[in-house]
Amino acid sequence: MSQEYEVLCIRCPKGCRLRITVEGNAVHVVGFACLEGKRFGEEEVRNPRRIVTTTVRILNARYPRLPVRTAEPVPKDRIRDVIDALKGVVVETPVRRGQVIVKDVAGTGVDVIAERDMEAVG
Amino acid sequence: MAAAVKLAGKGYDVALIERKEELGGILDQCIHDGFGTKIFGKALSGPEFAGHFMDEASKLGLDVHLNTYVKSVNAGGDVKELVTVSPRGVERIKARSIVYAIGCRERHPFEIKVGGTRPAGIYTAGMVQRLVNLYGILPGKRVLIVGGGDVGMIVARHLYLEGVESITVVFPEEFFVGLPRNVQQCILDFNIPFRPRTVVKEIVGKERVEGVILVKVDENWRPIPSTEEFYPCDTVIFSVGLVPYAKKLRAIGAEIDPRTRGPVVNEFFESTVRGVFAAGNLVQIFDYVDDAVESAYIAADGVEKYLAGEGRLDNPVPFKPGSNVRTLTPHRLEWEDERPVVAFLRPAVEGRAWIIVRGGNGEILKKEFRQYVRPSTLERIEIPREAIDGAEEVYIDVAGV
Amino acid sequence: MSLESKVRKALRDFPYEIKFEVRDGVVFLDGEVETYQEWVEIGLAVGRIKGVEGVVNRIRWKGYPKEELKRKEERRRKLYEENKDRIIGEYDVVIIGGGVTGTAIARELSKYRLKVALLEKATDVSVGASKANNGMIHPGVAPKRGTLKAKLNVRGNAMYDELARDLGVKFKRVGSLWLITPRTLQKYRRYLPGPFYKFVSAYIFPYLVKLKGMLNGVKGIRIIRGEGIWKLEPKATREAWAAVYVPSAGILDPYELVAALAENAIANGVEIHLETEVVGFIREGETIKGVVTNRGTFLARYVVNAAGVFADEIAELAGSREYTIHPRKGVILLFDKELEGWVNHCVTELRFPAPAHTKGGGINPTVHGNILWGPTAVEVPDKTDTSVHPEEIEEILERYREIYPDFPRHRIIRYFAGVRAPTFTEDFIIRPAKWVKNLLHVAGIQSPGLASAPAIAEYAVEQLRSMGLTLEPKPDFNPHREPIPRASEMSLEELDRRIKEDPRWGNIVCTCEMVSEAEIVEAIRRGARTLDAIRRRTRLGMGTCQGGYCTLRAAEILSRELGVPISQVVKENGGRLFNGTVRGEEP
Repeated sequence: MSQEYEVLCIRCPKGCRLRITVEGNAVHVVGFACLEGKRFGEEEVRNPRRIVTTTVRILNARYPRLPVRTAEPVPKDRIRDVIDALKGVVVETPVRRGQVIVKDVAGTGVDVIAERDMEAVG
Repeated sequence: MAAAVKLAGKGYDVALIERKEELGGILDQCIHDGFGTKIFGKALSGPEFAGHFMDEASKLGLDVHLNTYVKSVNAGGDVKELVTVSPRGVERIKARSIVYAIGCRERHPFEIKVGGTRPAGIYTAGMVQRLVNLYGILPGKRVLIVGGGDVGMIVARHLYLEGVESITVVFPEEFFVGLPRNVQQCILDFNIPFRPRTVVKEIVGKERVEGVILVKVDENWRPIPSTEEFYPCDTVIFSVGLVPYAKKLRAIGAEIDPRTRGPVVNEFFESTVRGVFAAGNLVQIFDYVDDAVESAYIAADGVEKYLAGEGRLDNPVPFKPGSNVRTLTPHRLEWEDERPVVAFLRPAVEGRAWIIVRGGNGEILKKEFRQYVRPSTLERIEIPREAIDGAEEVYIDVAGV
Repeated sequence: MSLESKVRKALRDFPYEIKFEVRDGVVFLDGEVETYQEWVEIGLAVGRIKGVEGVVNRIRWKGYPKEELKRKEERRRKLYEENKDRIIGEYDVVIIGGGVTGTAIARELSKYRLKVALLEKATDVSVGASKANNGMIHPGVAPKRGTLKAKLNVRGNAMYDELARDLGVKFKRVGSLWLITPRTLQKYRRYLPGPFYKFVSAYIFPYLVKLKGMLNGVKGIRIIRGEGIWKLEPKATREAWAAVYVPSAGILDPYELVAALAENAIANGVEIHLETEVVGFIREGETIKGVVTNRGTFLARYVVNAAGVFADEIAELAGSREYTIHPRKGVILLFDKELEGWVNHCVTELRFPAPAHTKGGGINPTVHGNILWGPTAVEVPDKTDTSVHPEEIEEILERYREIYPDFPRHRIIRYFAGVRAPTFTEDFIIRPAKWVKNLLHVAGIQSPGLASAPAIAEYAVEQLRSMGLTLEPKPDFNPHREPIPRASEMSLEELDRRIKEDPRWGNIVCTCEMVSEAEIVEAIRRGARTLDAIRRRTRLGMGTCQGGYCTLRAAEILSRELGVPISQVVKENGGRLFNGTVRGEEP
């Protein structure tokens, strides 16, 4: 018994229309333009995941917020948990791009990393 | 920044002038991911994408002028002179060539003739991105977003996640015009309510927005009588398009294309003022930052040719938008060169289509098939020089299949 | 015929039973009508009667906001009780209203040894009709002969060269050009067969206009034709048969003027109290002793009512309701500065009689290089109705399309509405109150109120003198006010010098209008407390992009200078710019 899905690939702005067939344990994806897309298609049916991008509070920087994101996609139904887990997080300058801000956020096994450098000011 | 990095890499003496306190333009507010898939092969966030170029710039030791406003430019002669104003004082910079990469501005509610009052609580989407992502401030509690493009959807997701009480998106089209990926991951993932074929007729409120009068529109976006409805909210965010910030180029005498609303350019993104180039969203609105960067690289190649005094064609070949093409760059072929011409066009139709490059007499010079074109996605096509050889003018059509 | 019988006769034209009463030349009307429009028409019909000195229109129409007015009244009464015993100070003159009229009177009074307070309920001066008009300094041709309007308009216009120089306000005598086209006398076409129509339009009508102006005392009016017109206005319609040119018409930035008047008045000792709303008066017999506000009571020997659209309510609170204001909204469209040069004079097309909704409007340049179309003139029940309906935009675009057929009408960057404050007698009412001893009415100041303002101030002060106020000139009165220097207008040498002294001159916050941080800080130093107050003083965010880029940066500066969190920064009055923080965290 096979099941078919059609989803929009969200890994890049191209938005490929993926047609995904699931037969038992086998997942077959067509319509992708890159391997990222193939992987996305496979995951989207089994375990839909998203990169979460948000900000955390930072002190003594040019702006009061530091943009951060999950280093890897997290399960879609955990997005809210990730956001909630970042509430109250305060970071000190300086920060480097890619620096881990929160390890294993909300028990997802994924780290939250800084999106940019932020120097101390004043 | 991309043009400066490329030119500095070629060994030119480059000054990079930026009005803000840091480089990167609006990428600092675009904290969502999805940038750079073409160039870096992975989906980066805006600040990450900008960060790569900043690293390059500092490696090359670019002469960067931050916080610097260009007051006037004398672009007439072989040596161009810029007058800049910065906290360091008024300075004059001489250059043999200038690349403008000053981006775009957001269309505001006055441009789409939204009626009513103008109390506090009305923003453009970009303003809200900065507000939320850099300052950690929410514009309001009950939000209406006007516009079904990418920026509107991205802002909707941020506001939803960062804690506004309610949010609705309205737009006059049948469905969201932005990228499908954004529809999926910004709107559908969170069940954010939206109303197609709906526009804001008037804003209501004295000091702060108290609501809006929504009205339904038909397929020509004409309001349907007696479909007005009051929608209570304290915030209205307009995401109704971007326009190249071309006034500075117009001021130095560059010709402006009424379709793109950016400068008229040749294949190396040179404006009609010789030695003055344009790149990025100033030329036209690019949907992919990668394409904007490519335009900067091409402009940098153009600067190189200009400075080397390379030859121009005796008879430039005009490029004109043909059927089903809303905008097209370049506007003409002007240089002697071997490299293929990169053209960007915005289709007026949606679906499977051929992009057809033809000469003035209808002869087909090149044809490329596209799985899916849509007006909200800029198409890129490379045209080999040999294909154009001999043509007096070039048209590009989009033909639906 | 007595006033009573004239009023009775006028009311006969309306199918309603309207009761009336006449007291000292003031007519009080009472009754019920169907529509608001009828309410206006009845008031106007009575106001037109010779000898009527004021119309208090208490007629109700269907939809009369009874509940809302009751709430307003209750709020006032509560504030009155809370504040009447808290004395703020004792003043010779208290002026109510910080528009052009109030501030001009304040400055005029500051020439004398007097303690003066001006009370304004908003967060800035100039926020009513004074900010939302076309900035035209009318020459004085239009007002009816013999009216106070005609007299003060011509006089006020003549005073502007010196006033603008003293206050450092940009003022240009651009002249006005009134086109006479085949549409001018359209209504009379059937009485003027064949060539007579053009002859009367082109050769008789303009002289009548000129004569009217001359009788009002306007000088230099000329009739021009053909190339003469197009030399002045190259892009005006070729249909024009003739034009009346009035060289004394001028333009200025109305809120620059009001801010300058206020600053100069303050420099000469006047107190200006913002966010101070009058909620009642303390009276002893027929004399006002104190003006009660939301902040406390200002004891006053004389009170000037310059409250604009609210003047009738203030008069009522004071006990001398002699007129009703019928708010008349005007919508104006503003075009991009890049169109500078398209229109050089205040141009309009004469129509006789004038079309109801666009009477008095036209196309004007501004001192900043923008071009304005409008205003309209629409009766509205709500005094604070500054909404612009999409249909109104189209109406204006249509109305003036014919006189500039090629104008790039799509380049609108903004539109706005102001509410004029006419009374039913339609003339200015500047006189001592009839039933209160020490109150001066300065009411019904509608167009050409801006042009007349300096003369209104002079005239009002004369009235105060006649009411017994002693005017002893102050030898140290300083008529001069320095404008906020503009980075965009100064020489590069001066800008460089300033930046070396204060680097904030080199931090350009608004790129469309080239406004520096130093200018914003200076505006705040001079009293700007809100984003809009800064915009009006510096032109921040007034350009092509309408604040898309600079709003946040300006909010940041305001927050820093005023020492309030950015989330508390205000746009205008009670309207906070932003409304919360991400996830409720500290910003």
